[in-house]
Formats: sequence, structure tokens, C-alpha cells
Amino acid sequence: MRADEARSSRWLATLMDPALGWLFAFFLLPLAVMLVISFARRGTYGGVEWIYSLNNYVRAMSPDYLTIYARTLAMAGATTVLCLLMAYPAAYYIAVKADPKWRNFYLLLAVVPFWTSFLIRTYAWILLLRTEGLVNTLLVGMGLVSEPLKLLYCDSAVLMGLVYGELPFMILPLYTTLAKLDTGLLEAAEDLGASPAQAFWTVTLPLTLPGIIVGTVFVFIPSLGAFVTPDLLGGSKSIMIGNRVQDLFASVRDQPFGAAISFLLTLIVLAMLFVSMRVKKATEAME
Amino acid sequence: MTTSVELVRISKKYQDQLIADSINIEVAKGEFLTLLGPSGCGKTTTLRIIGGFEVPDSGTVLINGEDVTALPPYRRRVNTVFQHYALFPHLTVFENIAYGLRRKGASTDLVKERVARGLERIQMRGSEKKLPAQLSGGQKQRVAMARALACDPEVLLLDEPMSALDVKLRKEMQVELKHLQKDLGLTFIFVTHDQEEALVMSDRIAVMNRGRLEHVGSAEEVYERPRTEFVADFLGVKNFLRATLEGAEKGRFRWMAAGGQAILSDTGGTAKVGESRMLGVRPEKIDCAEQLAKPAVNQFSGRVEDLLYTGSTTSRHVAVASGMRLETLAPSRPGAGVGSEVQVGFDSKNVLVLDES
Repeated sequence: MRADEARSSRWLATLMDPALGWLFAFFLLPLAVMLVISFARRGTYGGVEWIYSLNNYVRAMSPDYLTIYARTLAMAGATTVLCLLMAYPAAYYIAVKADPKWRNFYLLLAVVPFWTSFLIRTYAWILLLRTEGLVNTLLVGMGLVSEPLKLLYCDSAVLMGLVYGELPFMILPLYTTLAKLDTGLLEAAEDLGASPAQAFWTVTLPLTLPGIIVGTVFVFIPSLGAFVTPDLLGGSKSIMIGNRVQDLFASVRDQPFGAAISFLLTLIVLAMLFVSMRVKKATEAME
Repeated sequence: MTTSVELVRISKKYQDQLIADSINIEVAKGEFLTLLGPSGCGKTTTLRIIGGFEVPDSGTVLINGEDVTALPPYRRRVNTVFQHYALFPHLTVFENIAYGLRRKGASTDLVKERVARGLERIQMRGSEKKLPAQLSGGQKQRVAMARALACDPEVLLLDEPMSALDVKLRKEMQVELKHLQKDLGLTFIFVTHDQEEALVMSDRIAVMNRGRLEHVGSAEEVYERPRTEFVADFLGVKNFLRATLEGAEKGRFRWMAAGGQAILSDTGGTAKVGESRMLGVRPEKIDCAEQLAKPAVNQFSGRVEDLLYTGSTTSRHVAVASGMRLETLAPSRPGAGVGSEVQVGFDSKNVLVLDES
């Protein structure tokens, strides 16, 4: 390493110090504390008794909780699939088909929802979906249904809310890979006898796989830990693991058990990140 | 002679600019035709119209006598070697070459056999499992060739496939490509802006300018008897002189140049007496010496103003009376230096009479 390179990398290290310090103080340290607490026991008045065992983890594996995990995975999975199906055409249009003049405007539209608080946007869904809400008023008014549909406080409402909230996180990474796509390759595919559909499956899709993976990670992981959306839009049966953790910390005040469940969630997320990064690396190595 | 590709009055506009202006051409089966011209002349667009990537505003594209104007690329038995090869980065060399066969639903055995034969042809056996990123420029070009040929096309289109190669490799590939085309007996339509490349490889050259075919003919014809100023200029004629046809003289045509120089030519071209034309003379057709060995039909004396030594050849720019400046080119050997008084001369048969473009 040359002297000026060494100096610049020392500089970079110095510049990174605040970020590293932040990560350590507000992420790694609390995580370590949580790990310790997860092996402790709940005190009578909601405190923590420092008696260590694996009890919390055993309890977290009970059928009741496994059902919630499964429900959560299913919801997060469905959210990811729906986001992917909706975001891909949108990102494709913006990146490939749209007039380059308008590209930035369309991207802006995709992120405009972020200008409003997530909470407010979720409350807006309640106004839309409730029994006397806009959707039902319209449906009844047009005579399409005789009485209001139950649109709120059910799984489909939660799913709608999650998809709505996560969609931009799928559009943006997909846009990035699609914008890099060499459309000359699609011409080459057609030249060699591939119909546009075949060209999509054999060229476009494999080459945009890295974007799909990033988008999936960006959507799946927050959906897995979602608690505001299911809390506001879901009924008593559409509970997700995030709600459970919130309850355990806030109302049940069983911090050790809540910590154990959080930790299991973190492990699931880490495992998935690991797998997806491996896949992404493998697909990118080809380029 | 059967016709492989025929373009009938093909026109194409982009934002009010004619990129292809009523192009008519017939390409014979097994012919090597080159579309030659500067960038923006419409040669690539013409190629893309044959490939099916562009739909002409008007006109007809016939391949083997069948009207394919409205057919998409994947329904034409035409394959393309793209300028930047467009190899699929996520597929191995084997899968790149197999791509077209697989789209046609060829059996595994057939795919294997054809790919093996293709790799043999481009001398790249053993590279099946490599990814395009691991190949050199020349190898990529070869794989792109093999991939296009694997589909057994009626016509192969080549869009400046050599432009990304260095000079030495380009010369090798030119010879290789010409041999390949002869062996296969396949129709090649080749696009380039490099006149030498066109001359080396083509059976016929179509020189394009502003969307029109200016001159279509054999390499020799286009080079030796360019029809227009543009073609002459593009194919290396350096000396241009506007002159008026005065009449015949001893079986030759007598011209009067603007500066009062009389010039004799063997042909009158399309000119009638009293009409003016641009005359052209190639630098290598002009002799230049302190004392010419034998008198030339058109002979002037002048002074060497510039001397450009390129190794094998030397170019002398000679200023003659009446402000005319002639560029000469000859094999390098000791001779007149800058400032020397010299004689320059060229035969009447070397005077090109050019029409306006």
C-alpha cells in the first residue's frame, strides 16, 4: 500500500468512527443486553430476575408460538410476493420503457408516500376500509353490494397495509438493476429466435436477479417484524410475532420472554440474509 | 443467381430526418455485401431493418423471396453479430452458442453436436464453461459468430463486428471471416465505416451517404471508378478540382480548371460540353520527381510544401501554379525534400470525373 493510500484509509477509518460508535452503542450493546435478559426470569412485578435458564426458549417453541411464527412468515412471504409482482412491471416501465425525461418523476412518485408519517398513512387505510369508509360507501352507493363488506380488521387488510408500505422498497432496487440492463441483450435474444416472453425469462429475469434478491430482503425483513400495521388494521386473529413482542414488553411485562422471541426473530432474519447474500453473490459472479 | 435479400424502396425517418431514403438493393445468395459509410449514414439502420429490429416507414424487405417486412426478428431466418457482441453475461460460452437452438426446441444431442461443431469452427474447444467476462475481445467476437451461425441462418448480418478489436487482430479476423463466408457459402451483409475492411472482404460494396446508396459495385469498381464526389472522397481520393468540360482533344476530354489549368481525361463521365464537374485524382496515381522519367499527359511543376513520412509510404504535398495543391503518395525512397522544385504528373486515365452526391 502506498503512503497516500494508507493515509486516506486512516482518514476513512476516522470518518467512520461515529457510525461505528453509534452501531455499537445503540445496536450491538442492546442486542447483547437482550441476549442476556432472554435467559433470565420474569420478576413478580415485571422486573428481571437474574436466574438463568433455557425456559424462555423452550416456551417460545410451544405450538401456540409456532403458529404465530408460521402466520408471520406466511404474511411476510405473501407481502414479498405481492410486492414483487406489482413492483417488477412498474420498475421495468420506469427503467426501460418510460421516456427518460420522465424517469426521475416516476421514481419520485414511488417515494412520495415517505413524505407522510407511516402512522398517518396507516390510519388513512382505516378510513378507507372501515364499514362506513370510502370503499364501502362507494360499493353500496353503486349498488354493487347490498351491505358493507368487512374489509378492515382481517388478514387481507393487514396484507394490503404491508404491501402498500413496503412497495417502494421493492421498486427501487429493481429499478436499479433494470436500469443497468443492456437492452441490446434482449435484441440478441430475439435475433436468436426468442419471443419477447422467452427473452424475458431467459435474459431479463436472470440478469435482474440481484435486484429481486435485494428487494426481497428489503421487504421481507421489515414485514417479518411488522407490528404497527397488524395492530391497526388487523383483527384479534391477525396477530403477528411483532405484536406478540410488543405485548410482552409493554403490557404483559415479561421482558425475558419477549427478548427470547425477539432473538429468535433476529436469528431467522440473519439466516435469511446469509442465504440471500450467497445467492446474490453467485448470480453476480457471472457478470 | 438467386436473390437472398431484397430491399425495395425502403425508407425510414427519425424525427423528420431521413435515415434510409428509398433504398433498393438485391443481395445474391452467398454474396458478401458491405454497407460502407460514415456514422449516421443509415447503414446500421438498414441492417436493423433487415434484421427486423426496425420497421421501415415504407418499402418491402424480402428474404428468399418472402415478404418479411412485418415479421419480428425471432421469426426471420436471419442472425446478427452485434457491434459489442451482446453475449449473454450470465450464460457460459456453451449456453450462449446453444441459445438459439434451445429456443427452437432442439434435442439435447443436436444442441451438443452443433455447439461442438461451432466451437471447432472458431477454434475454441475447451472454453465451453467460460463466461463471456473471461474472454478476450477476439474470443468474444468468435463466440458471437458461432452463436449466430449455430441457428443455421439464411443470411448473416454483421454490425461493425471488428470495431472493438485492435488493428492487428482486426486484420487477422478479416481474413478469417472472409474464409468462413466462402466455406459456408452464406450470404453476409456487413456494416463498416472502414474502407479498407470493406475492400478486403466484400464481393460488393454499397457506399451509403445520408440514407441513400451512392454507389453499389465491386470493390475494384467502387475504388477505381467512384461515381460521386462523396464516394471518391470516402475511398481515399485526396485531390479534387472543379473544372468545366471544354471539348475533345486527340480522343481525350479537355477540361479547364478554375485556376486556368487545362486537364485531360479519358472519360467525360456524365458531363456535356460547357458543364462543370468535380475531377478527382488519387495521390498514389500522381508521380512526383525533380525530373519526371517520361512526360505525363497532365504535367505541372511546383514546389514541395509538406512531406509526410509514414514508413512504407511518403506523401508529398506539392503547390503548383494557380494555387492548386496536389497530394501525392509513393513508396518511400530518397527524393525531393520540402522546398524542392519538382514536377508532378498523372495520366489522363487516372482522372476521375465525379457527379455531385
